[in-house]
Amino acid sequence: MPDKRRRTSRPWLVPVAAAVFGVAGTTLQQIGTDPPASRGGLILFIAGTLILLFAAVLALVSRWLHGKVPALLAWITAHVRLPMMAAVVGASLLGLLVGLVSPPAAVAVRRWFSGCETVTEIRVLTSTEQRMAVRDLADAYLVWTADRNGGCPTVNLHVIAATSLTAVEAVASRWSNGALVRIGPHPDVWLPDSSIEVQRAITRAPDYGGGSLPIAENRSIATSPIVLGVPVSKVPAELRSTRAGLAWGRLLTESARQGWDLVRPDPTASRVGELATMALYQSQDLNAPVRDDGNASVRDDGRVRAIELRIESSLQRGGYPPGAVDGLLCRRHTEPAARTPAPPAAVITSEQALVRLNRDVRGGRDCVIGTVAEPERCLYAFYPPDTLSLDYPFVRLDWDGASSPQAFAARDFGAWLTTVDGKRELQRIGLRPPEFTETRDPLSVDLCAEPSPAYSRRPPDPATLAATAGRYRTARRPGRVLLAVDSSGSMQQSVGPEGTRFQVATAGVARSLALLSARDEFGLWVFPGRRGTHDAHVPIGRGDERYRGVGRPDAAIAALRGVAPGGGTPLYSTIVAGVAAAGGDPDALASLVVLTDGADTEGRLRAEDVADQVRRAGVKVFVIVVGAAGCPAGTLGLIARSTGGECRRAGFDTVGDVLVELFGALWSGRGPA
Amino acid sequence: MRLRTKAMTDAIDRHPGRSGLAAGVIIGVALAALFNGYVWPLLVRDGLERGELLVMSGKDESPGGQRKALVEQWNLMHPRSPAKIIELSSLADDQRSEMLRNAQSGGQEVDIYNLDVTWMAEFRGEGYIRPLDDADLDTAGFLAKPLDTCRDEGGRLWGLPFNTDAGLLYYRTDLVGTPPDSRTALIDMAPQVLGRAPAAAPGRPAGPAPIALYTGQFADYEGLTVNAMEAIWAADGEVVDEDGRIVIDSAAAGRGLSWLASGNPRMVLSASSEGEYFHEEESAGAFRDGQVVFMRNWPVEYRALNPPASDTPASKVPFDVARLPWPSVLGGQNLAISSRSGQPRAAQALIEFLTSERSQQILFERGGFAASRRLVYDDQEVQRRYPYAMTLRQAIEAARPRPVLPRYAQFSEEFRRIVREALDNGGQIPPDAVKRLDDARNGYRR
Repeated sequence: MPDKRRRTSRPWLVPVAAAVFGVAGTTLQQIGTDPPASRGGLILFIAGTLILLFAAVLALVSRWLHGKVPALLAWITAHVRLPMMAAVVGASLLGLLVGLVSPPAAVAVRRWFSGCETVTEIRVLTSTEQRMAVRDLADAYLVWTADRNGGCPTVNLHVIAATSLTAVEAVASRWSNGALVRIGPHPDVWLPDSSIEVQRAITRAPDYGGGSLPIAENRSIATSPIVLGVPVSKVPAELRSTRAGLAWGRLLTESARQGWDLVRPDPTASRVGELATMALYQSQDLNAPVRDDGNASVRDDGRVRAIELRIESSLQRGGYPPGAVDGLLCRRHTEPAARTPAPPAAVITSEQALVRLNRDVRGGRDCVIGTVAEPERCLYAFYPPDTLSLDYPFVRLDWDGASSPQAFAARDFGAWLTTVDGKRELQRIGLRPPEFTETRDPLSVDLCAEPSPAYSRRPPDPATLAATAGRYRTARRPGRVLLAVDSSGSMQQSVGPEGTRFQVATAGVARSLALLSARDEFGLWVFPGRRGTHDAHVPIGRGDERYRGVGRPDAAIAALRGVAPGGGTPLYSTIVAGVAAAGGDPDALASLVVLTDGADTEGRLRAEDVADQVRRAGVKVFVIVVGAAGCPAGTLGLIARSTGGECRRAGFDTVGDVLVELFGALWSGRGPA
Repeated sequence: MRLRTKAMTDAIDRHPGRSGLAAGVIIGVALAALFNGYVWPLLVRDGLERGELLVMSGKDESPGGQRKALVEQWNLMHPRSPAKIIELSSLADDQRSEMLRNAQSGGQEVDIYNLDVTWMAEFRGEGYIRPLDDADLDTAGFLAKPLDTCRDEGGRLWGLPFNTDAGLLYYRTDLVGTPPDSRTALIDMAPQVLGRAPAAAPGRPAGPAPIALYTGQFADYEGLTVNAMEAIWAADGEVVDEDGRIVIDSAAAGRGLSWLASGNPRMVLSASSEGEYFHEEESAGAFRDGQVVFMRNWPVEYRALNPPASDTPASKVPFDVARLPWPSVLGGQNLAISSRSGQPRAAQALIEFLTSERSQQILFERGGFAASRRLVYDDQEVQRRYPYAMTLRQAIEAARPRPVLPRYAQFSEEFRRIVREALDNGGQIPPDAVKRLDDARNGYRR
């Protein structure tokens, strides 16, 4: 009878206990953070989980326990003495408390004396176009980990960048082949612009020997559509309402009707350019493979040529450099108003590059220090429904095995990119992560973007992409390149086992000449000459025309090997004469490439005078400065920019890469894409 | 015990053959271990462990690759312990990152790291390098300041200086007679030298008129840290005082940065017309083309501007060098043994070889590296052929180290952020600068 009374007097005991334990467990788990960011957090999380488990067991067996708990308590009271029980419970509680408090206390004491713990450093490789954005992302992740760990970051991210071609080859070669010197440390994470690059690295890997690449993870983390950016002040109101409705074909027509020039990054150097070309050709139904004999149908060929001619003319008129989207946007954005081409230029770019530029313009920042940007240079984005997108893969590379600290840290970084916080940061750098609906800057109407555009997020079909590349090569005008190589006395200096500066430069030239196609034209000068400012060793001529009985590349390499460096550097005179020699053929894209290690020593001409003389010749001047000299302000850079060319600095290790990239863009032949 | 001994001797008596065999094996093993462990290393020619030594170092950009040439010499002398350089990028941040990766992940077993002087505390503190055996090490010939960067607080030696460095003031001799001896004197020269027509030298046309007074390194890398720290020192300010307190919030520090932030573009040329802030090469290019009167740069640029192998100087303007009119930051790199090296004796021998007087002389004369040994600068022939040698030595002896911190990289990065903010704001140092730097040196990120 007494048992029965007890059974009915406390029916709430077990459910309440289960509820209390449930709440306690959940609270501890929450305190422990998800995922636990420190050892203390991990202990709290485990304790919470155990208590929650206990609560669940209680709830499950509550029916069985119902009425038995008082009997159990009575048994314990009868058989265990109170002081003993109090001591056991007290010790258990104290142990639990010490267990909970001591790890964070130890961390606090240690940090008081010596600051934060040492963190693992991981290296993140990205494209040169994404360098700044990925730095922002890495910084956000660092702060995120610090926020959850008492202000101490749990990882450090070192961002390195390389052009697409260089990165693909370096990963394919398992970071051999001088990648440590030319690019930087082994990357633990690779964030290329497109999965095309990952596929290319995998395809190229067998050429370097060894097993498969150490790719531990490979998935898309975000996308960005290819868009057309038009200066906002030039977009008529009726077009603004159809920003997401005009397919690429109609946009081409409409932009011509509006009198806009059309510029696009180089498809051989930029993934944006490559995908944009595919989208443009697809919109004209022009992506059928080129026939085996190397020729497309005459009608299609003409349409592709018309597109490319329009783009080439626009690039020429505006003095845009070939290459990636950042250089294009920067030039478009910062060209002094007086030199801005008369027709406004519509820029084919990624949405991400466009909104980041617009944000910088709004923020008063600019590519050129001290220049106040004009608001009307903000670009308005058009989203053709048939556009393609970059799919930004996250590629984890386990060089040192899956259990290295770097592998764990890289895995955590990848996991963070799939969380709400990670996606928010991806959006903050202008990308569109999957299944994320928050709309905020920079992907907002305020920055001339469409908050929720419709576009394909699938990677491009490799076969169609290859067909596009074939079409592009046959459609664009052939390149006409005069290369002038500095053979002054300073080029005699040895750079190590590789030989003298001149020999290293010659090796780089030899690599780039492999890209010469039958249609392209090439000539070689060396300066100073034996009697004048330069010697024309190989006159400009088509790639399939032999010179002195041998192919043009072989003739050029043989000529360079026969040169004995010495004398001064008549750089400016050579540029003036070279531009005159390279120009004159409207059916070719004419360029003068100057390879030098120094400055003009002749003193006859000023840089400003040279720039004035070569500006309107229709020949782009590219100066590659090797060694320590750099591209000095107001001289070589000024001359190159005045023609729509560039001055680039290269090390003796990288001169070959720079030449290959440049010639890949200048010639129509076997481009690196 | 006695019973057990007796039983044993009985057993030996019963089985004399087996017992002899066992005793022979035991003695043989012991002797072999003794010989291999102690006697053989003493008997071999140099007592060095055999096997390839790996040296991780930044790209050797010296003319003729002089570091590699020295390693080749070592290999001829020590064919059983040959060395190989794993070359890294020429960018210091990239070098540090790859060395950290190697130390943290336990990849390829590198024996020697060529560490920037500012990374010594970090690599030492994390146990990535081991102290040198200085029992028979003669360090008397090293310049004191570079050698100090190899020591910890207790004076223990953790490496030897491979090369040292100190900034120099390059100035145009067609515009400047006597170089300035203080920051104020340099600034005061502006109206005079910027308005003067460059003097023509015999056989040389007059150089171009300068567009600005001074240039240095202002891009977002360690160069900005160095230039900003020197600018603060030049105005008698400090970043970290002798007691280790961060004191960047002083008026003097603000004065130092406000000069660099001068709104007058004729005063400081910090970027190219393309908007790119200068590294060493670009500022040397601007000086070479006569765009500035003064330049702060490292001694290696002396030879770039006046290449020994060329029959015409690279610089368009005549120039000379002087000590900076303020303390220079002490640069340089130290060779240290990886704590994971299985050949510490051979590694130390290689370090001693690479930092010997003869090697240092070769590295200075042929490679242009600032030597860490006094004797190189004392050499009469060196002084005759390289007139800047004594100036360089004085600059090194007067140079100051950057703060010695285990988290120097984070500290320097935050310092640059603060400097950039200050330069964009007329030199005004942000009010939270002290807290931010304190957090950074303790590894915090808030």
